[in-house]
Amino acid sequence: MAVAIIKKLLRLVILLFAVSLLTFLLVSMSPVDPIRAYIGTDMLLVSPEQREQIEAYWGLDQPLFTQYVQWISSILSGDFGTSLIHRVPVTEVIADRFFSSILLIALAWLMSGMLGVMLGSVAAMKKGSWIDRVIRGYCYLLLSTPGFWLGLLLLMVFSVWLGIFPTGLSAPIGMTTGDITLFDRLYHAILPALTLSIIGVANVCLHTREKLIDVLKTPYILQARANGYEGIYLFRRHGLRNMMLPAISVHFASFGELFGGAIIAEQVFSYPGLGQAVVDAGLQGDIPLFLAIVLISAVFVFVGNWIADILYLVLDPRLRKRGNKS
Amino acid sequence: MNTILTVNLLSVYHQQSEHYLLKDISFSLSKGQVLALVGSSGSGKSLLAQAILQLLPDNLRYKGEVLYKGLHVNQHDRGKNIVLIPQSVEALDPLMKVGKQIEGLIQTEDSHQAVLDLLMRLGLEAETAARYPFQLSGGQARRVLATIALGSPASVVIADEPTPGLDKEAKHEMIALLKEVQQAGKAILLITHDFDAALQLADRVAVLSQGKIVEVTDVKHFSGEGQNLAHPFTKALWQSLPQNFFFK
Repeated sequence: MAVAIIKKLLRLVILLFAVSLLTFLLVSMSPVDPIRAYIGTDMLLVSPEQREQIEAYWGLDQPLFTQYVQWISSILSGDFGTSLIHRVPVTEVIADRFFSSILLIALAWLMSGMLGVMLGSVAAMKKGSWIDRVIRGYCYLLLSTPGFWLGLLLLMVFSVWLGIFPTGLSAPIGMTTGDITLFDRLYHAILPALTLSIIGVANVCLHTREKLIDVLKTPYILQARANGYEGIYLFRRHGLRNMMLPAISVHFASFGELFGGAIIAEQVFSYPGLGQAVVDAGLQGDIPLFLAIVLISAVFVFVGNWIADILYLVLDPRLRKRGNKS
Repeated sequence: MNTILTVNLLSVYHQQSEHYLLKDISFSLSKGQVLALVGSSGSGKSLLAQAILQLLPDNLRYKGEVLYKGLHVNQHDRGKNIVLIPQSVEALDPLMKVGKQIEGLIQTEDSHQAVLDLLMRLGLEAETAARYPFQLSGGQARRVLATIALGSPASVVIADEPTPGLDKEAKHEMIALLKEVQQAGKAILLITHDFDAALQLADRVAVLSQGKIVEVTDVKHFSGEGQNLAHPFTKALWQSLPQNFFFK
C-alpha cells in the first residue's frame, strides 16, 4: 500500500515537473511582454534604462534555464511570486478563488453525475422505447449546445425574467467577507453550476447507457433473469455495481473538462473563480499567477483520477486482490 | 404421469428475415423425468432453453406453446418454477460474493444457513460463500452453479451443457448431483452434446438436427450399432462417437 502511494506521488512530481517546464516554455515564447503588461499605459514614460533595471530586478535578463530554475526553487520554498494584476501574493489570490471554483465544480460534478447516471440507466433499461429515444435526443441536443449560450439563456430566464437567481458574482455586492454565509455562496453558485452540469449530463448519460447495455448482454445478467430477476431488482442486484466501474472512471476523468467548462461559466456569470483568474492572467500577462493556476489545475485533475483509481479498488475485488499482491 | 412442462410446436425465427432457427419443437416432461436433448454444435440446443424461459435476444421471436402445469410460461415462472443451470461459469456475477448469489435463489427464512448447507453438500468449504467468482477454480464454479438446481424451489431444471470442460471426477460429481435433483422429484431437461452424460442420466433422448427434433427415443435404444434408432441422423450421431464405430 505504502509503495503504491509513493509510486503515485512520484508520478505526480514527474507530471508537475513536465507541466511546469512545458508551460514555462510556452509562456516565454508568447508575444505578451510581462513588463509592458505590468506597467500598462505608462509604458511610454519608462526609459530603456529603467526597463533594463526592471528586467534585472525580475531576473528577466537571465537565460531561460536560469529563470526556470529560480522560479521552481521559489515554488519549492513556498513562494509562488506576486500577482501582477492583483498586487498581492499569488497564493492569496488562489486561496481566495479556489473555494469559489471548488464549490462550483463540486456542485456541477455532483449534479451531472447523479442526473447522468440516472438518465443513462433508465435509457439502457428501456432501450429502444420512447423513453430511451427522448433521453438520447435530449443528450444529443445538449452536446450540440455551446456552454456560453446555455449560460446566457439560463441567466436571461432565471435571473432577468424570473429574478430567482442573482445575475453574477460569487457573493452579494457590498457585503464584507465576514458577513457572507455558505448559503450566499451556494445561492450564487447554483446558476453557473447548473450550466456546467447540464452540459456535463449528456456525456455521463450516454456513457452510462452504453456501459449498462453492455452489462445487460453479459451471461450473468441472462442468468440473473433466468433466476427471476427483472427491472429495478435486476438493476440493483447486478447492473448498478458492474456499470458503476466504467462510469466512475469517466466521471472522475471529466474533472479536467469540468475545469475547462468552469472557465466559460465563470466568464458568463462574472463568477470570480480560478477559471476567470486564469483568463485574466493570460490576457494581462500575469505570468506568476498563470503558471501557478496551471500547476494547481494539474494537481486537481491528477487527484480526480487518483480518487477514481481508489474507488475502482473499493468496487472491484479483482483489482483489490491484484493490488494486494503487488 | 403428471406433466409439468409441455413444449408444443415451438418455433424460433429471426424477426426481420423470418429465417427459422428452431422449427416445431414438441416434447413434455413429467415429475422426476430426465429428457436429454442432444445434437451437434449450432443445432439450437441452448436457444431452446432461452425460448422456454422466454429470454430470447431482441431480434428473435417465437411461436408455439410453452406450458408449465398447463399454463403459459411467463417471466414469473423463471427461478420460481423453471430454473437454468448455465453453460458458462461467466454466469456468475464477477462483483458479487458467491454466498450472496446463491442466497438470492433460495427462498427460505435462514438463507445464510441454507447456503452453507448447500455448499457442504457439494463438498465445498463454508468459506466459499465469502469468495468472489474469480477466486474459484473452474470445477468449484461449476458446482456453485449447480446449487441453483439444488437450492431453488423450481420443479423444472434446464441444465445447459453442465459437463463439458470438467475432469473425470468433477463430471462424475455433477452427474451424481443431477441424479439427486431428479430423485428429489424435479424434471430435468439436459441439454448436452456429451452422450455419455446423457446416457447415464436420461430416460429419453431427443435428437436435434438443423433446428428440428428428428427423433425422441428411449435411452435404451442407444446400444450396439444403433439398430433400434429410427432416424439416419440419430444413427450417424451414435456411430460417430469414438467408443462406437468411428474408428472401426
